[in-house]
Formats: sequence, structure tokens, C-alpha cells
Amino acid sequence: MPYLSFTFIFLIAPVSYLVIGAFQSPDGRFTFDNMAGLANPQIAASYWLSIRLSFASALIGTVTGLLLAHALILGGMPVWIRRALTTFSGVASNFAGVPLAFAFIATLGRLGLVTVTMKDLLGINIYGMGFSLFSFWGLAITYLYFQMPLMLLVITPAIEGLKKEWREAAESLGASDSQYWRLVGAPVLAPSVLGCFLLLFANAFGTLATVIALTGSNFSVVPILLFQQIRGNVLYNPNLGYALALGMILIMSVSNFLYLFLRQRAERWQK
Amino acid sequence: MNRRFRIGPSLVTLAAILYFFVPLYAAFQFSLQMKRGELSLAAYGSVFQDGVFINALTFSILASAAAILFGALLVVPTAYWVRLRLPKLRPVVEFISLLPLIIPSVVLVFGQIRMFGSSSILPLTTSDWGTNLLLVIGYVVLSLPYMFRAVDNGMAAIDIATLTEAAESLGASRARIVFTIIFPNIRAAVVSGAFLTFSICLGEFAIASLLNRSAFGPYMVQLGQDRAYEPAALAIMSFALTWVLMGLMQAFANMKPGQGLFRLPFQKKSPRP
Amino acid sequence: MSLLTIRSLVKSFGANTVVKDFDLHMQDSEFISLLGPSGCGKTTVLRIVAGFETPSTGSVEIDGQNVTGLRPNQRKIGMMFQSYALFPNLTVAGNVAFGLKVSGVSASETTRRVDEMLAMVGLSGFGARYPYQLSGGQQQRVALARAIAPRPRVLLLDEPLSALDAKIRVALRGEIRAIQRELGITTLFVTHDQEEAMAMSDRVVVMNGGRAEQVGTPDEIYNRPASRFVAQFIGALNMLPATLRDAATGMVETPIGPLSLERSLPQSNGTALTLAFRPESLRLIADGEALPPQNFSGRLMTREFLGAIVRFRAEVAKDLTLGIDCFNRTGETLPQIGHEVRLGIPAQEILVLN
Repeated sequence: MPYLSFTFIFLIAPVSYLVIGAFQSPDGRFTFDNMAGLANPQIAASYWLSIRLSFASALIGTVTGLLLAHALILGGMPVWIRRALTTFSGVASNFAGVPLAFAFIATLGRLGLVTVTMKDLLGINIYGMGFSLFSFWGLAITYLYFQMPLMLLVITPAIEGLKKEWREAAESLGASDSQYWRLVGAPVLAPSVLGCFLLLFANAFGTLATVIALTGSNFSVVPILLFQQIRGNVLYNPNLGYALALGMILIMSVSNFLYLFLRQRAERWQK
Repeated sequence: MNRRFRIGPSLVTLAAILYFFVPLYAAFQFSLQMKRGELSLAAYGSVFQDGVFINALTFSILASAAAILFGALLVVPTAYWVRLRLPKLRPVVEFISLLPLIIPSVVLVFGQIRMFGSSSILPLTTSDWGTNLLLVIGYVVLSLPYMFRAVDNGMAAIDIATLTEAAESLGASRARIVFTIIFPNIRAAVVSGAFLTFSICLGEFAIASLLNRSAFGPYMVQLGQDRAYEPAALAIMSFALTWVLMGLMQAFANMKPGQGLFRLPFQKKSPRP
Repeated sequence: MSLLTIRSLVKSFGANTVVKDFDLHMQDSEFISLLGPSGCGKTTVLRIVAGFETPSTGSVEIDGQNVTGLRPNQRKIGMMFQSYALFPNLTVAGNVAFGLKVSGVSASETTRRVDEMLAMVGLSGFGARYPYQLSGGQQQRVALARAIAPRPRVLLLDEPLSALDAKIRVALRGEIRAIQRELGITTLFVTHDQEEAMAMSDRVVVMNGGRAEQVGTPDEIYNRPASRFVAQFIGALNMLPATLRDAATGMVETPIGPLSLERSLPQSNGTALTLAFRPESLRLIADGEALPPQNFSGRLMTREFLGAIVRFRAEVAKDLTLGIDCFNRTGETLPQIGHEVRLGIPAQEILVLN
């Protein structure tokens, strides 16, 4: 079957090559040295930075996306606003990469519209206060532009799945608004929200183009480090590069599989 | 629940709209300021006059189109066959199609470069066309999750098995079934998968850059380092293009068989009853 | 004093008035059904009583207390929904305990009550299961237990049986009624199924176009329908156009000949009337049997064997057919299609509709 051969040759085999390479010494013997090498300060710092950035951007994306979804679906917003924002989110969640970085440079860069306006109108120099678009929080704000829409899109079915009758049943049984959310609404949504958080985490973790366009190669998250390794073997050990890739795969797999697992669990409830 | 807290949701929605709108406005505003003291479209003109831009864009469009064609040819028969004859293989095929979501493109291209590098049995990266081929293959892999899901959903919507049996009972050959029954019915799904593929591949950076292709993604990054106003113009154009692609995709996804943005040659227009 | 009083209720959504001047007085422990076609306003009335909708005008009183302005969670009502509406994240026991928990009943009392309720609905031992592990009938039993666990003053049932299979529907309606009787809980039941309404209720409210057309016992509703709508909506009905000839003696002229209704009518002579009667009121008269006063002939066109009943349609005049229901008694042979038959009807079973 062509599909299986194609994916085997061009997807599974290359990845397996890296995975096996991660456990080999340069002369081909089995070793754990490469995996242990991930503890090297430069690499460990890189992972730690990636995890922190992905976590922060996923957390902000989850909270804001959830708030927005709640406002649009349960907050009595007009249908056209909801539809417009949903369509926009379909676009924005695909609007990652280089152009997004450009738009944010024009917004929050040193000469960006918001930066300049804040300085001229309010006298607030955000760069003077230590903010930089090309730093951790600058990246987190930029990521939010595709994270929040993605959250809105993936959490909408779950919020729509909260049946009106559950709320009514709770009310008829004497529950207050907060009791309903605490005992029914939040527990029902929890697996979906957690799952979506993990999806957002993985999404941020794999982001490369936006970072490169914003910071060049100065901001060494894991994908950047790997990118440089492929370009110029900056780790001076190809097998260590393989281990770096394997680490990425592992983090992405864990968060994606947990996402799928939690989504399945949530769907079981929402039949 | 409509009677309470209308202020909260309104504020949240307003804040979101502002957050979404401001960067676009800022980029647009910035893109008009190339000529000092006046608003002009000079940045857009400058972009289009750049021969490198045209070459890079053309190259990426061709690569994306090739990836769409290759991807569709790979996915459609597979999805059909799996639904019809090999439902047991379904979890495997579906799992493989989701793998690219787990494996970052940097990792994928890393593996491919090592695997098909100069010292391997299939040294694709040594020749120009081989590298181009590897780029297209990378794009096919990258868009596999989207393509497969679009096509598979399309097939799920039209009970493929029964349609095939109905056509066979009427005496149609297998090829005829695929081309006159199956394909027209999932055309909308394939097209929507194609648009998604296109929007992913057109500005793709990691694979193109690591294969040293002068594609659109690396071009944009380079431009961002060299110029000030043109990148903003590019951002606006990319965003508009993404809108158009998503709009077309929605239009196709909602399209019912028979009505169409375009018609395939073997489909005759049926008179209205 | 009645336990639930609904006074001059009106509900409009924009220009659309879905409940018009609706009054109902329910006695303690009474079981009343709101019966009507979809869109007749029955669900809206129930939702106003529950507090999910606010009436445009009118009031709802429970136990002498005006609850019109109260939120649903302050009304002490129990409710069952068509879609069960069990909380998916809670076990069966958790669902039943919900109303007790939110009102601060002690843990030991809650456990005791939950066990009692589950025993009552025949689900002892199911406490630890989750809703998705139960069948529809079991889920609706849990919903019933959940609704009655906090001892509500009024139980509201919003088509709770519609989503279930026919057999379970019949079994469950018996169970709901038995538990309602045992607890003596005042119950308002919304349904579009007349058989359900007839079988379960003390009284039935037939609704049409937002209005109560008739309030009465199932017997009254069926045998003495107050309006043409009620007569047509409940059960099968034969209709016969007629002209009144003599109001004093009840003589009418019909396409099947003159009939005497054997009673005086309030209308004036010459008025066009519609006569209505149930298929089971018509009787096939065997050869040699004495003819009743009201009789006419017809030809059998169709015959449906329904088990206990055989349903015929007979053409009695040009373009006029009547339905006839006969009991299927062993040893009795019923005529075949195409036969000419003689039909009789007791005068008092003929209804006069304007």
C-alpha cells in the first residue's frame, strides 16, 4: 500500500533514525551518554526556557480563550459577533509564523504603534520599563495571537456541550449559580480545558518560525537550538542533536496523547 | 442567564476584538509609511518589484501545489480503501496521519536530511531536483493530518460503503465508481484539505530553510532582517491571503454536490425538475 | 385552598403570544397533565411554574405563597426533563444527593435519603455507577429520584417519557404514578401523548394555541369534549355534517338520512351542525337482530386487524366514510370487505359540535 510505504520511508524511518541515533555513540555503539548530555547547562536551559514559555503562553491562551468562549456562548452576545470572531479565529489560528511576527513588530516593537502611542499619549515608555517584544513576555504576547483563537475553536464544542437542562435541573434542585459551576459546570469542562491547555502547550513548544522572525536566532528555545545544530552542528556532536530531537518528540507526544485521552474522556460524558 | 453579567462578557469580547485588531491596524499603518511624511503604497510596490520576491513566491506556490496533488493522490485512495475493505487498518492509518502533529517539522527535516543525505542509499539532498522533491515530500507529511481528516470526514458524511454497493449492483466498474461517484461527492472535502495544505506550506520556514530552498518563508525572514516597511506590507498581504483561503475553504466545505464554484468536465448539468 | 394556583397567565415572546389567559387550580396531591400538540404553550406554562420563564402578566402561587418573582432555586420544586439531564460528572448517588447537598442537609441524612430514593425507584445498588453506564429508562428513574429527594412541594415533569422505548414508557409511567401517589406529591405533567395523559392523570388540561380548551377528568375529556378541538384531538372521531330540523326533539337531516338525537338542542332550526361520535360507538348489526332506532347502511371498504380491536371503514354515503371499531371476540365472525352492513348508534353517544 503506497500510503504505508510513503509514510514509512519519509516519516517513520527518518524519525526512527534520529531516535536510534540518540542512543548511539558517534562510532555506533549503544549508549545513554547522549540522553545524559541533555543535562548539559546550555541544553537544559534551552528546555527550561521552552517549557516556561510554552507553559506561560498556553496558560494565558487557555484562560483568555476560555473567557472569550464563555462570553460569546453563554454571555448573551449577539450571534453575528460570535460568528465573526469564530471565523476570525479560524484565520488567526493559522496565521502563525513570519507574518505574525512582522505584525507584532509594527505593534509592540521599539517603533511599534502601541509602543509609540503609549509613550506619546500616556508618557509610558514600556521599553524603559524593561519590556521587549524580543523577550520572554513579548513572545508570550505574540503567541497569544494564535493561541487564544485556537483555544476558542477547540473549547467551543465543550462549552456548547454544557446542556441547558443541567443548569435548569441544578436550579430546580435549589443550587445557586456558583454551586452549579462548582459542582457540575467546572467538573464537566475540566478535562476539556486541561486537554486544550496541553494542545496549546504542544503548539507553542513546536513554534519556530515566529521566534526566528522576531529574535533572529538569539532566543534559544529548543527548536532554535535544534535548528542551529542542524545548520552548523553547534553542539559538536550529531548524536547529541538526535537526543535533543528525541526530547522534543517526547514532550510533544506526552502533551498530545494526554490531550487526546482527555478529549475522549470528555466526549464520553457529553453523549 | 441572559439577564445577568452582560457587562462582563461585553468587556471580554471588546478586549479580544481590540487585541485581534490592533496588530493588524498597526501593521497596515506601518506599511503605508515608507515615504516620509505621507501615506503611500510604496512598500507594497517595493515588494512586488523585487524579483527575488516573485521567484520565492512562485517557487512556494509550485511546491505547495505539488504537495496538494501528491497528498490528495496519496490520501484519497487510502481513505477510501480503508473505509471499504480494511477497517481493521483504520486505527493504524489514522495514527500515522496524526504523527506530524507530534513531530515538529524541524525534527522531521532533521531526520530526512540525515536519512537522505550524501552518504545514504537514496541521496536526495545531493541534487537540486532531489532536494525539491524532499521539500514537497516534507510538505505532504506536514499537511497529512489535515488532508487525511478532511477527506476522511468527507467520506464519513456520505456512507461510502453503501454508495459503492449501490453502484456495483447497478453494474458500474471500480474505476467508474471512484471517478463518477466517490470523487464528486468528496470533492468539497478534498478542496478544503487542499486550501489548508496551501496555507500551511506557502509560508513554511523550517523545512525550506534547512533544505536551503529559496522559498517564500526564508525570503520573508530575510526581508524582516533587511527592511523595515516591506515586512509590514507582507504581513498584511499574508493575512488577507489567509482570509481568502479560509473563506474559499468554508465555501467549499459548505457546498452541496451539484452546486459548485467550478464543475468537473464529466459532470453534466442536470435540468431542474 | 389549592396547592398550586396559576392565575391569568400570559406569556409573549415579542409579538408572539404563546400562553393566553391561563388559569389552573391544583389540589394537594393531585396529578394534572397538560396535553396538547407541539407549540400549544404547555411547556411554557410548566417552565413558568418552574421559574425558567417569567410571565408577561399573571401569577403563580405555591402553597399560598406568590412565587412569581422567585428564582427557580428558591421555589422548592422538583423537575424531570425529556433529556434526563443527569449531571454526567456525578454518580447516580451523587445526582440524587445533589439537591440535598446544596441545601445543606447533613451527610448521614443525605446518605439515608439517597438509599431510600434509589430503593423507591428500584435502583438500589446502582449508586456508584455513572449516568453513561445506565439505560435510558434507568437514567430517567435516577432523574425521578433526584427530583423527589429534596421533598419538593410540586413535581414538574417535562415530557419525561418521550425519549424512551414504548415498553419502558408504559412501565415507567405506572411507576411514576405509583410513587406520586405514595408520596402524595402534587404533580404537573406535560405531554403530547394522550394515552399517557389519560392513563396517569387525575385531571387533564387540553391546551390549544396557548389556551386551556378544557380541564376535566380523563373520562370527561374523552366522553364530553367541550370543544371541537378537544373532540378531534383526543381519540379517533367520526364527523357527520347535519342540518337541524326540529330543535325540540333533536331531529337532524344528514347525508345518511334523518336521525333523532332524542334530546332538545339550544340551536335554532336550520342551523348547520357537525355530529361527532367515536368509532367504538358504532355497532355492526347482525342479520336478524332487532334494529336500534338510529341505524343506517354502509359498505365495508377497509379492515385493519389490530389485535383486541378490528377497525373498519365503511362508506355510508357518497364521499363519506366512517370508522368502526369492533372487539375481536373469539367465536364471533366479523364481516369481510365489500359487504353491505347495517350500522347502529345510540343517540346519547352522538356529540353535537358547532
